[in-house]
Amino acid sequence: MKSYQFKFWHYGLLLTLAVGSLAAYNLEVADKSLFITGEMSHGHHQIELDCMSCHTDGFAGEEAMQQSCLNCHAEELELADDSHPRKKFLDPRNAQLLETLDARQCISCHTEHKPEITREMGVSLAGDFCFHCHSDIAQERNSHKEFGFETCASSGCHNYHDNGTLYEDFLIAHEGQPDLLEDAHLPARTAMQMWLQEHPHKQPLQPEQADLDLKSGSSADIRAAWAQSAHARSTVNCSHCHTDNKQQFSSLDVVEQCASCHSEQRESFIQGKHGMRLSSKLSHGLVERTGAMSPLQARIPMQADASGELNCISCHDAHSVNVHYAAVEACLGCHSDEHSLAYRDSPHFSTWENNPENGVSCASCHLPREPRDGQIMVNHNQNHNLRPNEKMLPVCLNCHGAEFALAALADKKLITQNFKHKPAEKHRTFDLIRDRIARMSNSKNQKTKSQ
Amino acid sequence: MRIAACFVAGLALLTGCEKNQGIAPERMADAIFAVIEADRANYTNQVVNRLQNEEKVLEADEHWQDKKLLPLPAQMMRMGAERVAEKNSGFNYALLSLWPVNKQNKPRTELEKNGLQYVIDNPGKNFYGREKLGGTEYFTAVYADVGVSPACISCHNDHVDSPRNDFELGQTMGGVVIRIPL
Repeated sequence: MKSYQFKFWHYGLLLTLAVGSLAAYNLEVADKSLFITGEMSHGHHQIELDCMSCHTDGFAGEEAMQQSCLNCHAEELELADDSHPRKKFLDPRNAQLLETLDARQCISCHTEHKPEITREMGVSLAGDFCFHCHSDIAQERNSHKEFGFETCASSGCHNYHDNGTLYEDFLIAHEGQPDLLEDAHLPARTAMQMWLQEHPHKQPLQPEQADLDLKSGSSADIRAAWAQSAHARSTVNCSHCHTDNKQQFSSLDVVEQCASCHSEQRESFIQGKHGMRLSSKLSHGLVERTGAMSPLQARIPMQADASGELNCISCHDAHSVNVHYAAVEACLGCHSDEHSLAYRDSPHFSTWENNPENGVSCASCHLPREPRDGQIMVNHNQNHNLRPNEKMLPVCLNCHGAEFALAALADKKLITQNFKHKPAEKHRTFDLIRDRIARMSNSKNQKTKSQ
Repeated sequence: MRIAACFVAGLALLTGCEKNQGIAPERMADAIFAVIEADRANYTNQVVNRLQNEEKVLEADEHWQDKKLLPLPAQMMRMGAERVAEKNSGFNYALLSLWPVNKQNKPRTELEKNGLQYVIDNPGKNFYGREKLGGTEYFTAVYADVGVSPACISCHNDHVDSPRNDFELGQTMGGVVIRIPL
């Protein structure tokens, strides 16, 4: 038998085939992890294995990538009345500015897979990026001549996208408020109240009226928890959720089942980091492959024993659907960062202990009660008002004056201490606002005199 | 005689080709401006001035969404310009001024500066030119934007950021710049 003589290039060919096969297997069959070119930002790391959600077919170009961004973020930008929308930059007169910074594309400022240059909000530009278009701001606003361009968007004065509460007229209207308002209170939730008004004769369901007979030993506890719940009060029986006697639910099943009555809550939940993997805008089958988000995969500190997937019943117990538990205990059951751990020593917690309905819980700030279509609804996207945190101002304004609240939101040490004290310093914005009010008043007086 | 016939035939052919190219950019720009100007005057007079200054039932305000008021006429026009740009309609337009309240609306190109000055210096006349922006050549027309209602005059004269506060009714306050890529 003739022995085959391997030559050097044969080994090279075999190695190439082996590497190629491994890469092809990873790309087409396995999780594509070999093709991740760098760690993703905190906003997208949960979906880093869903390449197609952003890159579409990989060769579609910038426009397709832009469309991918808008696929998930367009609604939020619309709600925020984006200060720098793409449409503003489509006029050819901006051509020279766009050569420096193409503001028509999200990825001009938010480049992914570049952890070494990625800062807060997933911004991958240097902090003084406002300079590119607003270099002459000191000519327009003399008061700004001493400010560095790196401070425009990092001092609680301006945001690139959302300036809903950071514009002059808003701040002027809220100037001079006391630190703590006399009528400090959170808006009351309206869902149950409205239901009771619409169904004045419906009586709460009793434990014996439960229409699903569980054989397990915990059935009595479950029945008792349900009978005390808002579901039993609003005549939602077991079979409303356990359709066809279903007992086992995946995270996706839970969210879909709850959404049959609570669709608005589902929509906001899947826009935040808790629920984003459950979004139907991601590639089909992703959540089946990766599971829903879990505290084990979080990048911020979590309790050592925090586990399981995040869905509606992770925070709201499935049977008691307890909103008070969901507002504090559920959060602190997972989160163990300094801000979370300091909550129980804060004045906010004291108000919660004294009055769980109107005190300040984790949810009061992070899952705020907001007006929508004549109702007060809980926004279940806990990231919405943290991008950046000045967006939380409307929540603070329920109880605090704007100057106090803005100073608190700009005080990073105070945030870590969960607002245990008053803010150390006042916010400079309101000094500028007072100067501005004086200028406007002088301008009016001069015009009156000249008439 | 043959040379003259060839010359006439060539001229006729070129004229025909020109006709086949469609409407001339100047005529197209004039027509676009007529629509913009009519809508703008109607909104300013029939909506803002009537509701805000005459009937005093609803004001126009820069932050009209938050305050549940009317958009300012200039904002209304810019919303239209942005919508046209988003639809990639084959032209763009902008409302600019040498004395803008918002400094982002001051002229940015040499042609814009020249055009705005021209329509101020030559009332009743339009300015036409060509310029290259971002590698594309544009036909650019500038039309005078005249203060047609007391609402325009009082808002600009009273605004703390307005660089000029002596505008009068019927005066050119800025210009509408229309661009058509060639």
